[in-house]
Amino acid sequence: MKGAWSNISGYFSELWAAWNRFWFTPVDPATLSLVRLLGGGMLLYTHLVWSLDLSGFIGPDGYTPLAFMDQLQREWSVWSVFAWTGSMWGVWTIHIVALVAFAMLFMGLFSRTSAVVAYLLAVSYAHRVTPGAYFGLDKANCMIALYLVLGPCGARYSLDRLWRLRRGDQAPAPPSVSANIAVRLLQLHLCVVYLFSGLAKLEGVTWKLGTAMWWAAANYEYQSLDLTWLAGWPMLVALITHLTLFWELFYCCLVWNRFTRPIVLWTAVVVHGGIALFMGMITFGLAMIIANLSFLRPETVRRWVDPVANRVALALVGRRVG
Amino acid sequence: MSKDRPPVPPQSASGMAGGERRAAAPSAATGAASSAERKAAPVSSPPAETKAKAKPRAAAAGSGWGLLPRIAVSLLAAFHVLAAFTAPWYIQLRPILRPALPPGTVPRDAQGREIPLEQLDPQQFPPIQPVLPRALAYGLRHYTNLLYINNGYDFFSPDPSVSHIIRYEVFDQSAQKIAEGKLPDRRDHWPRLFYHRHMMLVEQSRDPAMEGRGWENAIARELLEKHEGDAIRLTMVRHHLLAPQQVMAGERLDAPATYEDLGVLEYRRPRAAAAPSEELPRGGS
Repeated sequence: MKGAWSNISGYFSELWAAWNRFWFTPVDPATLSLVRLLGGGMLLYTHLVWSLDLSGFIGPDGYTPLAFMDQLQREWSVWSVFAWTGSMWGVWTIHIVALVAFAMLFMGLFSRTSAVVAYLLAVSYAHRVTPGAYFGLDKANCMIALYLVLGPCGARYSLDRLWRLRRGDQAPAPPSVSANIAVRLLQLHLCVVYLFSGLAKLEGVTWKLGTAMWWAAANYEYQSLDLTWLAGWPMLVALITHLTLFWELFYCCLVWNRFTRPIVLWTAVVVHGGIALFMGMITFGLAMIIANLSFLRPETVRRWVDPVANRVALALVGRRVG
Repeated sequence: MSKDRPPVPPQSASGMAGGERRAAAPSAATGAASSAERKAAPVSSPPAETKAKAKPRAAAAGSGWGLLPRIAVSLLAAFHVLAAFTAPWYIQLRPILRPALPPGTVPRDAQGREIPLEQLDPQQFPPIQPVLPRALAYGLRHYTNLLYINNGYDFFSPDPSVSHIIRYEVFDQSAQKIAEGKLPDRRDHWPRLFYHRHMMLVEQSRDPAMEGRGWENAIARELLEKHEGDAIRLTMVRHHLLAPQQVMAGERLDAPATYEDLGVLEYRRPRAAAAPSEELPRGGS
């Protein structure tokens, strides 16, 4: 009996230790900083494009008038700052503030503050166009922005960092528990996204039969590069379809193992890169790849990005980032 | 941002103010651990059992966070992940809700003909509800709404489907056509993201949940404003997909035969003195 109790308590003790290691190990904020740099750039570009027809999509009397949205979104928690203004000058003012916030997040200027403002504004746009003109890009953008709020996303690859260097502070960015928590939550959220994306495909017929990729490729409105040659390659279509489905379904398991993780992440690059190249959803494909970068180890990120960051720092402030 | 900047290099224990900075160096992390954790830490060659017990505490001490903050953050993280999981879980189940019928039962009308499930009276045969995801989604809805994690993730599912286009013609007061175009349009809507927004606008206006809400009128009004016209005719068009065999036989994806007109909406700009807008039969659904 004593032995059984010892085993049980040992199990929970190890479980608690693993839980602590998973969530509370301080990590180099390089990964979170890279996600901020790229995610901030994507937020900036995404919202810059709204400027082309702000009155149509976001304006109070546009394609989806505010009165129409009020009928649909009765919950107080479905919120948007655009609901607070009934004029186009108000909408433009918010839009310009938002673009500044996204640019600051991208460049890493007052990173934590700009991350909070950028996230709130990104959600405001997304709620304003849901329904209306939202799609997966808005979900990915808001997901990335949400977790940037939680950690020191400007610790590296940022103007904040260069400013500290300029003032003579060459101390390396310290490992951070909150950076780990932010990255862990993003990783877990991404697992949820792929799991349900895979499960939703199981409701259909074409994904199970292996023909879905053809029907996606044959959609003229999506198509950005001609894929009609796939008509003569049914086996290839089936292979891509089945691989995509199984990759999505098992992403949440395989991405945690260090041996399967590179395969899973490179598959993500191929799948989302393919969507970007062939189906014209460049922004969505890139946003999902950016979210997948959260699985890169900080050492890997630093090995790839630090040389570029050093060049920028040398050029701008005459010092290396360290 | 300056808040994250360590005032001195992390090797110095004196500069480790704040949870994250304390965690910078192993020595500092140990120093920052709570007194209870320090007491629990092994001193010298502890027996195996003590080692096992001390291991989690030592691991936790590496974070520099006390037990209570770790428990609080753990609970918040678990709650958040549950919320992020619940929203797509329930959303995905909604389209597959079926009327509550005993297994094997085939509903029939007075003439003995089989009644399709979608035509059953929901009052008589209410759908089977997924009670757990529904309760969770309802209970967590304000949290998921506030954070915009209230989404499903059904990309190209359950099956990739056809696209829709809105063709429009704008007329002035003398009924002369002054503009025409379509949503989305690759030539007019650039860059690609802008095109995609128009594409989503058309697709989402066709959502069954939007039927009868007059969204088409809002689109018509906005297009009239843009082109400064007096009347507009919208045609909702479905663009059918071609099977591989049809493409192999030489058919083009954008062949005229692949487009099907679904309905027409004519809309006239309301005039101040005139009666309500003159709307002809709705189309597009």
